[in-house]
Amino acid sequence: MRLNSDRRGFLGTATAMAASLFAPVRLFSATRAASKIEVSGFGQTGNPYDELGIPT
Amino acid sequence: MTVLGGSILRPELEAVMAMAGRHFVSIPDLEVAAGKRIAEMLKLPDGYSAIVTSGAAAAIQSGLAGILTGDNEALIRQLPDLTGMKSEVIIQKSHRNPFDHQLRSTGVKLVVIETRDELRQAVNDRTAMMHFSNFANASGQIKVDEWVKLAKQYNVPCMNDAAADTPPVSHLWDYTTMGYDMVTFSGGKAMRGPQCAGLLIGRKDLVAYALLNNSPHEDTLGRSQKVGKEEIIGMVKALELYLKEDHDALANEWQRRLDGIARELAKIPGVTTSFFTPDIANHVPHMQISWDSRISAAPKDISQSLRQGKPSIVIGGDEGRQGLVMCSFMLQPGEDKIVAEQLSRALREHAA
Repeated sequence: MRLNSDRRGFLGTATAMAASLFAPVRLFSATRAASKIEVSGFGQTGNPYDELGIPT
Repeated sequence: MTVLGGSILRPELEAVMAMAGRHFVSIPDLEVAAGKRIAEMLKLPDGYSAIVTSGAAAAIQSGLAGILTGDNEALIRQLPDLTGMKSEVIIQKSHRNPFDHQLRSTGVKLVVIETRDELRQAVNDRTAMMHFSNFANASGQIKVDEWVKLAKQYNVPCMNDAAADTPPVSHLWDYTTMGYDMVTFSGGKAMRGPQCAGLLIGRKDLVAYALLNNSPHEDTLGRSQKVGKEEIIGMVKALELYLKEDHDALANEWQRRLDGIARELAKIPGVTTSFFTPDIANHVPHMQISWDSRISAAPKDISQSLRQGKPSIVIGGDEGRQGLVMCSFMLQPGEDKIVAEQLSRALREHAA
């Protein structure tokens, strides 16, 4: 994996970064929880297309 | 970081993307509407709009393709055969980078210059665009504000590739305000939008031409750069959430995480830390971790140990700096403690 050739910010100055990867079970449980989250602002009606004036 | 999956989506963003997936919609109509909303949110100058692309690289290619073809359907189908079109893009030598492949993919020739005089001599009837790589601002002789002024003087469209250059948040509108005809951003970095999303912000006519050269339009150079309805909606939501952030508080939180890790590492004899913030491109607090001979491991050994651990942690080096360098703005709450523990473990394993 070429970690230092990925993106301008990470190659021009060869900046490095850290990221930790959690076990899949935690990610999946987070996703399930997200489906119940209350949305404010864009998307609050449940149909973001309507909010942009686009017929669906 | 694209190779690691970009960023982690906010739960609210995931929810809105899920909503987007429950309907059919005209993608061209959605792109126009999303662009209008993005322009409103960013308070872009009159005459500017945006489209969501599959990333900043796609924005570069589609943006240039639009300049080359306009709305001429025959020319759009003809690319990358440039017969009858302009065929050169001017770029500073220090601004060359792997993402100018997206420029070259349109068929253009890159004309590389270093000085103002060379630029003046390079502009001709074949010049389609002047390209600026924002991260390279410091290394080129002509800086970001002068580049656009010269482009106006020569009546040549100019693009600024600012993929990784927010934060600061103001960069989202700084360059269009400066006069750039087109600016590109990654969506899946600090904005925490969908990984396969980016923004092409620019003059309405050029943005419209770019869309004609992009998916879902067929027989186009950009047909392979498909953007889904979920990504378009997701990018609008991500931008809304990003603009609402307390950016000073975020910067403080990123530094607090690094401070905590530094305190843990300071307990290991021979290990030192220091902080810096790049002027541009990932303009967030960074920490350099160095050690003396009391730790009998090279940075790549520690890096490899962390990568193979569970959870796997990726920390690399930085050109011109000793040891390891990390930033914390992509970490989830609590992950800084895990990084501190794992770094301490890896270093202590090699302590004298």
